[in-house]
Amino acid sequence: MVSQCVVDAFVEIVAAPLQESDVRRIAEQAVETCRAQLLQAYPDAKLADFHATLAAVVMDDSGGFILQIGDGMAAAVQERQWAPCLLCLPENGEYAEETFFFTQDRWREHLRITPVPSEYDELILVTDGAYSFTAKPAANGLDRDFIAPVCAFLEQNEEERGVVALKQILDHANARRISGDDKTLLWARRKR
Amino acid sequence: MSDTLIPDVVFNDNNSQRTPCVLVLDGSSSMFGEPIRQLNEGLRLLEQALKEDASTAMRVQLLVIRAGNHDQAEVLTDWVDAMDFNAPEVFANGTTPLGAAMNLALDKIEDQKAAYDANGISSTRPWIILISDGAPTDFDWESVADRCRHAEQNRKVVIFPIGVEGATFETLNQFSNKGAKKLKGLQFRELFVWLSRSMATVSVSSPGEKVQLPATDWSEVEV
Repeated sequence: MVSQCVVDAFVEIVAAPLQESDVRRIAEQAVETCRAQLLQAYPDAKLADFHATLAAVVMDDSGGFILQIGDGMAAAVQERQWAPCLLCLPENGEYAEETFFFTQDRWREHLRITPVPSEYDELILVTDGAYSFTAKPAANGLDRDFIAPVCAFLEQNEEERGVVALKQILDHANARRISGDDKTLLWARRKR
Repeated sequence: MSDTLIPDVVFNDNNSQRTPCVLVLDGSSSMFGEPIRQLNEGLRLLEQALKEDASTAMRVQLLVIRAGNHDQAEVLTDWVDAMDFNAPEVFANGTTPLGAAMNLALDKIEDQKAAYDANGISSTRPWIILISDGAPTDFDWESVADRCRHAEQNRKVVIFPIGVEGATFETLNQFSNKGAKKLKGLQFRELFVWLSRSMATVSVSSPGEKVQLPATDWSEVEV
């Protein structure tokens, strides 16, 4: 739901180069809207019942921004150079099983915004369940063994077939062995 | 990988995350005989079980402390990845300095957490498994028990005191806010199988998730 609110907020913006301060203001408004809508829709629930992290990207030909709350990871890649690349790492608490959610009181302190220069033409966002096999051990780029065949397939196939294939990959036993957490991967490539 | 639409995908586990676990073991004279034999067999089983799963073997780290001799706490195995863990032989001889042993465990955990942080390694909350068939004999164990409960309250550690037949639960209970569990008979094998499965679960757990641990078939309710 928070993803939808953030997307809705940005698609309403008239196409114009955005400054980082604009992005922060719009994102904060979107998260506030989502929090209010949740409390209104579920009056007996607490915000903590809807804990979720956020990983998003807003981008056009002039570049863009990656937005994160918590332990999702985002990467921007130029011409299939998987590592090093622009990598926005997860944010954990003191221990690995702790992170930050948009539902917490101090969520603003953990809303991270990273500018993405226009030369980057491919974006990969993953939830923490897919992080361990997507990022390299040195955390400076993406693991070619995993990401290169996946991105090549997604580019060469129709969306419907790509979605099925991606679901198979993320639900594979080898992926579950590495992390029991749910796994989401978003891929986008800009056509020049 | 031919069982999916996308060929040639390789899953490498690139996570350097660690799951630290300290075993504080009673090596006092009262453990002599069948209890210490079963305990050592359980440790060997733990070694084997942790090494069976590649991710667990890589992520779990162990430290083994013995309480015994003349109120001495000694490190039998310093921090080691589960893949390199060799079960130590625990001897039963001496008194039961559980306070000193738990104090050492907390110190070692603090040092290891600092080392993780200094090297950019993420870690899950450390566990301490305390196993005894008696009661602490060392001076000032109560203040250490306070330190243990305080560390638990501050979410620095998870402590499981486990009493073997003959243990004084009034004292063991004080080392954790959750109280102690009683080992059914000498079911060390079941206990260490549970521990290896629990470590495997915790090592792949995710933030915000309430981890469902395996059932503690090895314990019984103290009445």
